[in-house]
Amino acid sequence: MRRLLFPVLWLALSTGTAGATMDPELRSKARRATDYGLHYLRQHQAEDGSWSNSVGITALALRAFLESHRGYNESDGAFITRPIEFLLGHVNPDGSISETNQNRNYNTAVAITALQATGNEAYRPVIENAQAFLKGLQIDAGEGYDPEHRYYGGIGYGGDERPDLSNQYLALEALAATALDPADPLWARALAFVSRSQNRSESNDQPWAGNDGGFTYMPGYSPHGGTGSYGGMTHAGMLSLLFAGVDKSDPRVQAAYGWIRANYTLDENPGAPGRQGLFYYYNAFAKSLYAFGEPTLVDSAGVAHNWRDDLARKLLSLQAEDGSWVNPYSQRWWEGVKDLVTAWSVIALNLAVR
Amino acid sequence: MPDTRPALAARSIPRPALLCWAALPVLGRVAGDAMLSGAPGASPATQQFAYAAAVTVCALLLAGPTERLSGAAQWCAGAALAGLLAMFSPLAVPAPVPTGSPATALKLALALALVLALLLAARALLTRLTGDARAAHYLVVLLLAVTVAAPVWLGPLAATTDSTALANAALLLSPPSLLASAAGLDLMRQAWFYEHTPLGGLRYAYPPFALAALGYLALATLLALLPRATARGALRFNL
Repeated sequence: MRRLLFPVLWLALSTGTAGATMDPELRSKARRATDYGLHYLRQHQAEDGSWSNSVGITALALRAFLESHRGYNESDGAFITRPIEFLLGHVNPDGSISETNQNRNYNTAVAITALQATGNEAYRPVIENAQAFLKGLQIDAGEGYDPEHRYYGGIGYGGDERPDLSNQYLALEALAATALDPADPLWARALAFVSRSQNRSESNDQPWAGNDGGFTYMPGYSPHGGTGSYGGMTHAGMLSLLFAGVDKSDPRVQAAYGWIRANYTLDENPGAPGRQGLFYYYNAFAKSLYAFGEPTLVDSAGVAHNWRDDLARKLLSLQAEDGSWVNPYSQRWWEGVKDLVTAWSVIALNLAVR
Repeated sequence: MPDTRPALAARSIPRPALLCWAALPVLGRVAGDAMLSGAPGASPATQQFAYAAAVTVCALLLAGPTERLSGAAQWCAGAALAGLLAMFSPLAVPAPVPTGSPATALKLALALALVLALLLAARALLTRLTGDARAAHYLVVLLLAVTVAAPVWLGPLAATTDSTALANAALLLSPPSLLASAAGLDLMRQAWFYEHTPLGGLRYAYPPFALAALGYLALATLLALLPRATARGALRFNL
């Protein structure tokens, strides 16, 4: 079943789901906003095709172009081909794609997601080597961790042994996008870690596990204190479950969706103080609700929300005159970096307007 | 009892120092294993980092008076050797021998020698200034604790001001960063630091190892030469 579901899910993420409904006038405005965002990125692209001299940010910006309603591809010119060359220029012998020893998982994951989005089969060998690198980062018996350990199945930044759900979801997204065999044991191991990050005691054997259905950053820890659930991670957790082949009717997915319904808002990253991680939340919000496939979300108070309209209105209201986005409230997790936040926002809008 | 053989002491290694040298790899290995006990899957680089850090601390705690430059240099070289032994020798500790890269181990040994040189130079200066070797020793241990924790106490300020410079300064101030840079580790994303400072969520960069090593060497040299400048008795504080 998973073998069948898996490509279907990724196909839904990459090509769109039927029944998407959006206010036509708002959709038109949102498309213009993506154009402005992409224009900003064009204006701030370095000579070598990169953004912020970072593999990760370059890959995300490239993806923003490739998945936009304009349908950009390599034939459109150097603004697409140079960032690809920049990514390929940072392929390391171990298969990772990164300009630094830090963030090797993050950089490699978003890089192969972008390379896959080009649709160019010539990059397949690079992608397959990077898949092997990402698989090697997963914590399992090979590193001395038994299946009962809270870290088992997790993937971290790639320079340490501490896994977290954010890096896990990006790695799973990349592996799903690049069609890693759905029967690969990585997926089952990943589910162990994902389940241990969810506040759902029926499927989480950790003593701290609550029961609101949301997700925290990693088993036993939230950067916002305690082990509380918050928006960015709950969308990342729901996506991780779906990428790993869990059906949307599964109680774990339903519990996560229940948390999202109970905490529906675009005014903040719910559960995080000071609007920290706001744009990460918008990006994950768009991806997870797109993958879940319901155009309308009914919150726990019974109010129906067209999430696409709500997201587009919010992002339009936050866009700067120059077409960029940045988190004005908190710079934690690089949300003061315009290139990054603009790329995230365009990717989110690309999904909303499909 | 006053040392009546200063010239001899300067040329030869005191016997207790030899004993300390012999103990350093074992102590470093035991303390390093204790640091690693919560991470069964630690990578070879992380293991090497832990042993080097443990040897650095043990070497500082065990170091006798090192007023003379040659004594301090010998102690640093001995500690570096002890660090290498702790990294690659099974000793009597029932833990597998790490299989880390020799190049990383050499860089770590150099880094620990430089950190130790800086601390010993600071201690010698403080001893000269205060006239109290014991107080100077405790002050340097305190200084080490404060600088190791620099990412913890500077992190919130760096997060509030979104200052990459401040984040990088916190890393530069913290001696483990030099060791991490040598080992190619991202220390701020390791569990303890990530949970105790927001620095891991900011944009930062470790100083290039060669540059940071030169900085440590320059500062250690400056501190080592300062006592000579104050030898005329111009500066002395009473604690």
